[in-house]
Amino acid sequence: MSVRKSQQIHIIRPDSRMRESILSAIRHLINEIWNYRSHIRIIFKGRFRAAYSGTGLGIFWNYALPLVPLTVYWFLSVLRVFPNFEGVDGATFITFGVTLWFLFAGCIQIPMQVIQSRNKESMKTNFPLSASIVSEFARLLFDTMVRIILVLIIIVSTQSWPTTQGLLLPFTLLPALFLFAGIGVMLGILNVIYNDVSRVVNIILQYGIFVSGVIFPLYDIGILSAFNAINPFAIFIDASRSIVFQGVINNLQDYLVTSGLAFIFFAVSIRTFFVMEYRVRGIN
Amino acid sequence: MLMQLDAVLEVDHVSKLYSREQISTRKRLATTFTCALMGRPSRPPKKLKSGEFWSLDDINFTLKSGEALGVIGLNGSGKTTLLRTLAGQLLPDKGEIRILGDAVAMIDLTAGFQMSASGSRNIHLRGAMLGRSKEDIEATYDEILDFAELGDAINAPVSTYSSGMLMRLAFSIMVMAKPDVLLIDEILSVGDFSFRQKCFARIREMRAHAAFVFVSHSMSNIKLFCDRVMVLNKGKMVFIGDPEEAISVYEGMKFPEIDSVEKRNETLKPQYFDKSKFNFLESYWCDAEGSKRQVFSTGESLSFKIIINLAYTPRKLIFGIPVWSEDGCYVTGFTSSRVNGLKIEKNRKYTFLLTVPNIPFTEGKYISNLSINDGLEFLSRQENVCLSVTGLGGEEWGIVNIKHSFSEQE
Repeated sequence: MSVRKSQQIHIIRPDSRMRESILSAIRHLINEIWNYRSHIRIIFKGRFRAAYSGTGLGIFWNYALPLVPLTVYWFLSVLRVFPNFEGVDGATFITFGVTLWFLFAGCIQIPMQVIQSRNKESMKTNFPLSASIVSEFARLLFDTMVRIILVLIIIVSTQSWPTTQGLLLPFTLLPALFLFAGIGVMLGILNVIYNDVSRVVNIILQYGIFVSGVIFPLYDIGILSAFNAINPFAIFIDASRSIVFQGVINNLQDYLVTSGLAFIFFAVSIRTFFVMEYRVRGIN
Repeated sequence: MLMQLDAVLEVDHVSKLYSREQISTRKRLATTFTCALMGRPSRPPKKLKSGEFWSLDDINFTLKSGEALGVIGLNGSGKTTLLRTLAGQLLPDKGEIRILGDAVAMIDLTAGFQMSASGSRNIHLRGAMLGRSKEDIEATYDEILDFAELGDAINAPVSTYSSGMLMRLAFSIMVMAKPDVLLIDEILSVGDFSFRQKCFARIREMRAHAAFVFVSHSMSNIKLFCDRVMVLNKGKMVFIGDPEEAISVYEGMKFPEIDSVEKRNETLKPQYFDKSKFNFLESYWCDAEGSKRQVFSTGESLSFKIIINLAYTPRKLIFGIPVWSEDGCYVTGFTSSRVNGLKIEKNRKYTFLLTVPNIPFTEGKYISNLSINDGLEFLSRQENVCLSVTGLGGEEWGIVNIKHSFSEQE
């Protein structure tokens, strides 16, 4: 009987997660990620080392690849292909925007890719998809840090100095990260049901960069300026850029409304993921 | 939820739905997705859609610590699905599973391996995926290395391992966990003979504190390990109980109620004849003088004549005659030397005679093949004329009649 007291009874029922509320789903996933924190670290480090093992340049690729698109835009700016915008040097404007774009796009793509490619492995190993997603987010964070270093170098070289309010950037970005991660998780589940979803999303993310105020401002380009007002990418990129380089958030009202909706959407999508995680296992 | 006092695993009316058509799987998933989004509970499926079937249908059993349950059944009967459901890898569609403590599943041993990473790194990765802490993995690291017997290869990428080495590493990582319920799916064919014995020994050790659910097609392993055996057929539990009885139920399923001709054809399969290798071949059952015969009495002398002329010179000619009773039970096999083989020249006729001085078979009909091999290569495998044996008229049991006597000892 003493053994019995020290052991936990695990109960497996169909859709027992359906009964969980949004809060308990979020709590459960936070606990799951916390319990697997050392495993997430090991898996991140293992995949980081293994990603380019056997190649001539090895681990160097992990640093070089995230910089390739930024370097191209920087080079084009140096050639004066892009002018200065809103008083900010063209190279800084674009590389800052592109860094945010890749961060937001990654927040959408990573959950989708993990749910698609690892759900069979997750079924076989019982390793939670949430932990796999977080280990890949760590990779995204690393890529973003590498890009930010390059952006800082460009800022210094072009002397487009940010304002002190720029320190609020992480807080400004927070609702965006919640929104796009929520979208990624929701679309990841939907993609298991309807295979076309990932293809459509890839197309949108491939070309969306040109209509989201990343490379040039959209507020004076007719129909795009109307689209700008409802495009969350454009709203968050504009808000982030303006807080860093102007010290205020342009279109504060749009930003606050979108942020509020972002938190609500994130909560709903996290619960949906929590409920559906075991249901999508093993389905290609 | 309370469990029975001494139970570590309770399976309560568990069913699992599958579909052969992806579209119906996705439709059902879409319904569950809508329910999840709306916060409505999804109802268990009542009516099956096109292509859907119950891969597990109302499974019930209880397992105590130290007990081993074997699961047998034909391919597609739901054995692996049952293990995956017990392991929590898949959710049931009906019923409930209660596990006291931790369950570890040895189903896909190499799942989760990073092929480009070293064996050593994979011990950490795989251990992490099994939910083990870094300290726990470090504590058992040397033990895993010893058990896997990989030596210096542990630092090489696992992509360079042979399948045997990979399985040894995977098995070693798994057995270092100390589960309360161990779910094993046909994996005791890992590595070479001596490594298999080590695996058996480790599993036997684990029996002291764990319950087992063991899926296998090896009836000898099932008999060796299991206290009870469950027979699954098309997802339904058709028997649970004594291993010997379960195996006979399973054997009955392998040869279902088919007429004797079909049963006989099934037993004698596969049939083969390589025309290009033979100039002439004739074979038949006969008496000691070489005259063709089909009917013999128990205890009589039995012979089999083979007249052969090959179109090439074989390196190691071997004759084999496996014999089955009419209901498909393998009785015995007669063979020429398998070590050196018979030496014959091409384009020459040879006659060989098999002699069985005293037929031990009881009354009945016996079916057989004549296999002619050159080493491992089959040249021919063809059915012989059915052999009829008339009994001695007295009491006979089983398939063979072995001379015996009982005597009183002082």
